[in-house]
Amino acid sequence: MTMRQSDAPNSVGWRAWLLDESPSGPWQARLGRTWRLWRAFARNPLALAGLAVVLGLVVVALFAPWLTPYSPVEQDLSVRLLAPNGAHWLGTDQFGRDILGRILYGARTTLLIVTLVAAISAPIGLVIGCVAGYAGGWLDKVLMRVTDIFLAFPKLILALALVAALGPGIENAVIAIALAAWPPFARLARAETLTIRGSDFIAAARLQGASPMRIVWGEVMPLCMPSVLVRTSLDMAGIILIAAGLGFLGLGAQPPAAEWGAMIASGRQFMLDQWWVAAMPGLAILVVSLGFNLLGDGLRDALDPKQP
Amino acid sequence: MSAAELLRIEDLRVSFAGDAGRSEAVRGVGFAMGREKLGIVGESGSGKSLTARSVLRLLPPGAVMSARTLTFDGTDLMALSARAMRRVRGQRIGLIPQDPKFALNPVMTIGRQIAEAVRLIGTSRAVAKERTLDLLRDVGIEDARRVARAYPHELSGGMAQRAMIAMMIAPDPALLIADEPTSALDVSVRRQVLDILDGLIEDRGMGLVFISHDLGLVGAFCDRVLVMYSGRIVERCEARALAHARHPYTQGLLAARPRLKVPVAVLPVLERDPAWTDDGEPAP
Amino acid sequence: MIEFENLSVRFGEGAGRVAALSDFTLSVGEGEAVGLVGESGGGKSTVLRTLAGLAPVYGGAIRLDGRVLGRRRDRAFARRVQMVFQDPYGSLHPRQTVAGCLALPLRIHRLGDVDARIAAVLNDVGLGLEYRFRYPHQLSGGQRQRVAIARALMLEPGILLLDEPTSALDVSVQAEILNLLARLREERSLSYLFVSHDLAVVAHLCDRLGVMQGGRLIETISAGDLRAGRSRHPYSQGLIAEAAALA
Repeated sequence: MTMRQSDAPNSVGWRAWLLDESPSGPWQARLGRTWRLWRAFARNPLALAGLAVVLGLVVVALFAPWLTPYSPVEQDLSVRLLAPNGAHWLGTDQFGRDILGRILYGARTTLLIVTLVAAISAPIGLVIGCVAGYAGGWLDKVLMRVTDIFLAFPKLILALALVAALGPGIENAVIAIALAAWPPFARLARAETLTIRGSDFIAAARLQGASPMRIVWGEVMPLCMPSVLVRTSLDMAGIILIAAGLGFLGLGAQPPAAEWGAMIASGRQFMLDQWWVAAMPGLAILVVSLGFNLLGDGLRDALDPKQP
Repeated sequence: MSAAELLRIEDLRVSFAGDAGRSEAVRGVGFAMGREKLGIVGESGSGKSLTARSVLRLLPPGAVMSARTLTFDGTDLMALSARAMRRVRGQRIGLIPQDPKFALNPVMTIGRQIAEAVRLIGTSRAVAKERTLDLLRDVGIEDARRVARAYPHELSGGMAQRAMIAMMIAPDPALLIADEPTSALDVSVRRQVLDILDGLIEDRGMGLVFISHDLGLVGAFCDRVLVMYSGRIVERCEARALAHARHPYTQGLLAARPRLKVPVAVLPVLERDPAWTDDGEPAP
Repeated sequence: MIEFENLSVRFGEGAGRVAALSDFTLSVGEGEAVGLVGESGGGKSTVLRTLAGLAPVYGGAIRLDGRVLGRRRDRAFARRVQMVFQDPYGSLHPRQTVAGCLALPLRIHRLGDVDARIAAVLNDVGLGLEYRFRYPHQLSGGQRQRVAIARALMLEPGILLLDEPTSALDVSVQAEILNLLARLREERSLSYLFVSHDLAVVAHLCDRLGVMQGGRLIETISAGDLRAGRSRHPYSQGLIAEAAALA
């Protein structure tokens, strides 16, 4: 090549293997690509902060019972509504339960809801969007009108209506939120597909006799995935808020289970004098939402195809 | 070569940060020019575009440039503040990029864009309007009023490029830098645009730096030619003497082109000698 | 082998309808290399895309090996005709390695011996095996175009459609690719339909040329006549003069 490379400290074995310009196997190539993406991502400190928050959420959710000596549901009215102190770092609520402990246990609910919602709504949206975008014609129109119907409702209202129909509880909350969250992914995937559809490599695949299914699945969808992934992370904040909203209205996890939105709801009446009961779970929601946003932004910057 | 020196560059270097440390894309380029047409030819990766944009100090993010001398019309460009550099760009040096469809603002009419460039030197709106029409006629657009009202996508490639040129010569610059200005145009339109450019340079006594990958085109159009390879200048000659180029890279490039009047069975392939990356070392 | 009979293609609807191709009639014989030249918008790429089944409905007929082609192209067509596209940056899937890209046609047509075939084709186009697992952005323009040619050869077609395959390449790389195409044509007895705006390039590779303007074929001329300047139409003469001026 015509550019001169200055000497670089790539002496570490596995790093050199990953950055090898001529990989000797498909896995080396894939891992190498992933490693380069990670390097690009890791250059952004805010992105790393977001990742740390999300990983923190996972760790907290997994290890909640070991991270707090207090039970999330046992009541002890002798210590009710204590301000943050040495024994209870974030204070206690109106039933004497340690707020920090409840937040840690509540992380499980939050993580469960967002993971399930993302795992359901993003793939549905991706498939519908890609198929609609590639097929065009009446299939596109029908799928997009269905998408429009779902999009016409504000997400919280739609989730509320569905939960009202299905009944309160975490599983129904997940289904309701997922059904409200898939349309934007479909629109996004369709927009990307419309751009990709006219590319020469798609024309080449058609010319080789590839069926539309093979093209959508093998060529189009992999290219739409980065945008959908970024969008998923950015939408997480909204999903957490909807879940908290449902919890606030008593339609998500049922008491006495710890759930951040429900904690805020029950803390409302004490807001003036014992502000920590509502403010602490609110802070948790803020931090996690911000974390997902930063992660999503960082992913977008790293996955953005700057290379021609 | 013209009497008064317009541009002097010595030991220009541009480098980028990469996965494997910094890499130099321009490695010690130096030349001087007067009010003439200077062509810089090279293949992709030779550093020709970066060299030209360095004059304007308009480099992509992450690029670091340094030069022992970068003097334009008596002014040391390396010593200028960002604000002063902005005044130089556009008012004393103009840039004609490759594809007018990407370089013109798609949501403003041509007339408005050119008027904007005119008003940068402090004319009133009414005067700017008249000047715009004059400029359009200067670049050979007869129906100036119609074109001034049109949007860029409504014009053909050649017309859009001429509008771009009009915009760039509006503030009466002393130097024009054209970065592959005809590469996106059809062959017949190319001739038209080049003729107009030629006329403008003659009439206004401007200097032109013409960047291209097309050795034949540059040889036919420019006065002097610099050939770049791997970030350095490996050949300097008069355009009419291009056929007698001395560096093997230039000779190889000339020979590798298929020529209409000289049929060959197998085109001579350029064998890159790794020693060439050491050629063109700048004078200490 | 290929016969175009009064081919007409229109894009757009209603008032904005554009005739990309009108009354196009041409034939490409066995082992022939036919070029199509003209300026952008002249219709040359439309001819290739229509033959490849990538353009919408058209008027007139296209015959391949004597049989008229229908609206859709089947698998047998894929094993007879393949195409190399202009933009080396756009014709390879950005997420597929070279090996993945070359294996796709074999998988579609359920052909075995994947590794051996890939190695053989890469050798044919002058790329070493070390390029097998690179991604397109790790290849230069010339290397990408070689991969595109390799991909076109995987199904061993008899006819290659070439849509300005060297226009986006540097001069030295263009020479290599043109030499490669000439060698492949001889070794595999291929027929070419080669589109380009560069007269010298087309004259180098092709025996016969069609000159196109505004969607119409205005002249067909042999390469020899072209070089000697013996064209009849003023538009062709203009193109020849331009090409000669920059030699």
